[in-house]
Amino acid sequence: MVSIKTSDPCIKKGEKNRLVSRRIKDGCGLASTIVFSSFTFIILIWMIVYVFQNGTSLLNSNFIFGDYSQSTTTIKSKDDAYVPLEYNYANSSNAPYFSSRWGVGFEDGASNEENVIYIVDIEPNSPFLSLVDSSNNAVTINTSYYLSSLTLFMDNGDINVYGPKEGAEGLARGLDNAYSIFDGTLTSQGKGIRGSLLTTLALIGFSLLFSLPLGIGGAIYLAIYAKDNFLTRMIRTLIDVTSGIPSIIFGLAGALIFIPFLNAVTNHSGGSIFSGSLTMAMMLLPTIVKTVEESIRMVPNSLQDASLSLGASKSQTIFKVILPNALPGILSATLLSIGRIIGESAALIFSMGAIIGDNLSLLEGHASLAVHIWTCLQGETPQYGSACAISIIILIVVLILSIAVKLLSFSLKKKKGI
Amino acid sequence: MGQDQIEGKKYKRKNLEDQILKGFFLFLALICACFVIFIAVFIAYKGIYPFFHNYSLNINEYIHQDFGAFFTNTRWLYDGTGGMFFLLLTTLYTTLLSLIISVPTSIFTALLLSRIVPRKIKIVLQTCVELLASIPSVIFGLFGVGVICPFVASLGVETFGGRSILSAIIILAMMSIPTMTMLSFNAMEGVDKRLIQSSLALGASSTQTNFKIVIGSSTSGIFAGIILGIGRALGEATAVQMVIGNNSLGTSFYNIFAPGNTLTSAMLAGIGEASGLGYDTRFSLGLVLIILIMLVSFSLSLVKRRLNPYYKEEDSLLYKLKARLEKKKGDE
Repeated sequence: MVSIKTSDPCIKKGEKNRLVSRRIKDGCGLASTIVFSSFTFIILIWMIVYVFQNGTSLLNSNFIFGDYSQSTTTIKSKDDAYVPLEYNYANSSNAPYFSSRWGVGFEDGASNEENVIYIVDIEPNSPFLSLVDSSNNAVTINTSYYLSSLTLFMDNGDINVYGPKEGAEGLARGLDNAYSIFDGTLTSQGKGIRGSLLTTLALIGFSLLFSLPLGIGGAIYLAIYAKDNFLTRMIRTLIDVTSGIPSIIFGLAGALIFIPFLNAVTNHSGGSIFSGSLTMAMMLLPTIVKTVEESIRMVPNSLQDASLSLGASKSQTIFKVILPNALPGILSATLLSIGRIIGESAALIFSMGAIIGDNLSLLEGHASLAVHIWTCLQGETPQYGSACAISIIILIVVLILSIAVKLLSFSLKKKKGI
Repeated sequence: MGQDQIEGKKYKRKNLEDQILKGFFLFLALICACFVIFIAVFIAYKGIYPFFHNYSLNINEYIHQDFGAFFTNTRWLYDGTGGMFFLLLTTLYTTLLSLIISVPTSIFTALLLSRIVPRKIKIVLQTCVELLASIPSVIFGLFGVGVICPFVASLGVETFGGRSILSAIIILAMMSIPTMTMLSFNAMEGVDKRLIQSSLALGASSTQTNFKIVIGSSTSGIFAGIILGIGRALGEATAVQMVIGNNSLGTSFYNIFAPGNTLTSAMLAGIGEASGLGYDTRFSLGLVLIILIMLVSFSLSLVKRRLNPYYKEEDSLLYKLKARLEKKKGDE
């Protein structure tokens, strides 16, 4: 009894200390968990914020549908065309600086680190639309152009030159006091992504065309026909190995196998959309085979048995019963593939080429959107703006695709549960 | 002709149709499987080719890739004496250092997802991780050039505009986090609920349970995630090439603040202007990369088998080989 009485408070004290130190340890553990894991989410948010901050201002129709290459034209008024003083156009689209006499609005801007004046608004029937080039041919002027300089005949008989130094404000005021344009340099903005966008769309189409039949066929064999023997195990192992190969190796292989083959067939040198999409098809196969096989296995056996016992042949069962029921899986494989094609860069740089083109041509390899970003950032002056703007497009597409895949798998699980 | 005969003919035709279709699907499956063999054979051939083929340098001068120099030289892409050993070392240690950041981050993120946050937030955060996994590598590269490189440049150490091995390490870590997190998360979700409950019932706090029971019993899944992450980091090309600085000299490869070069970035850098030997030696690098990835993943899968709690000595390859040898000796 005595011994217990004396030791009792000691035990309690030790216990209390132990509890306190445990609570401190637990707190540290929880804190480190939260700190480390917040890093993951900070990265995601930071990336999205960075991309949207730098790219949103560039994302307009001129950027999406415009040419990448720049072209320069010289413009002047027709020899006998004078703009009377009483012309007065309304500033209908609220351009920052507007010449009411010529009906044209300007804004200060920069292109390739150089100050220029952007044309932001041309009113209908404006005399600006009837300008001609140096050999008196009509020029189509729209808001995708900017001005490097403009030489004007003023009302008081002077000839004044307006450029970026005077700015958009000076130019607008000058035009209000000018009756004719003597000479000017008009440059198209360029930097558009129309070519890359079209290339990407064509690439998606052809890659799916090559890979879906192959992948679905392979999946049907593995899910329905394959017995557990050496050949099946071999096929599975090889497909698993394919999914572990890094994309740059696929690029090398595509450049080695498909480019020489297609060059021999089409008499055209270098990469093409076909070589790129064949390479992508190779990359996509493991994903497609696995996803489709899984969804075929999810089709209830009773359906298959019912079809066979009604007298349908195995092939009829496959095409009319199993595949329609495995459609959500095929769809999600397609969406996953599209996401991968849009984001792929290393493989396409090797197998299709990294030169940015303006028009779609099947036999010439141009950059896809992701490769466009890569090309924009190589070289001395990286174009962060257009890279970020393309990234916004890619991010939005990828986000929509991944949510769609998630919804599809949810609906599939629900169906199976019922 | 009787009714039975017609039925029989119909049945035979159906059967033949089914056999043909089965053969056709087998053919498609074989094509899917054969691509990897094609890739291996073609790259092996083209990778060895520069060592034996003479490329014209000038009118009367011919060069080929020197075999010894390929392993010892400390300069990449230099007149047939380009060496790749420092590229190999940089690739390996960049990946290893990136693991220091990515492994704890992804384990803790997975723990947060599976044990700490409530169910509704969990779904949102899980979608975030999946979104991060689906962001293409070129956007990671853009983020690296735009944010990480200026950050590294502002650290106070002399750098090449922030383009350095350190930037590549950070980017690689960021890229392998989602893969590792997703696999660790799946492993942690699969931990037996009774284990957790008995740990709590024995008086362990929930943090103790999380660290000792949940992480402890999902080691195998975490390791599988690490293997996948290493695979992704070793083969990552675009993002690394954009931030690492592409230094073709390997004399300062150990300095993480200096621009460096990995196997993949060396393959990708300047591909637009490459021709002749400069183009073909990239395939030799590809061959080295394939061999490296095969070796690493093979040795890691051996380690993973050891980590498995149900591992038995009798299952290991070495044990089986030994047993077979002893059996042979016994037979003799």
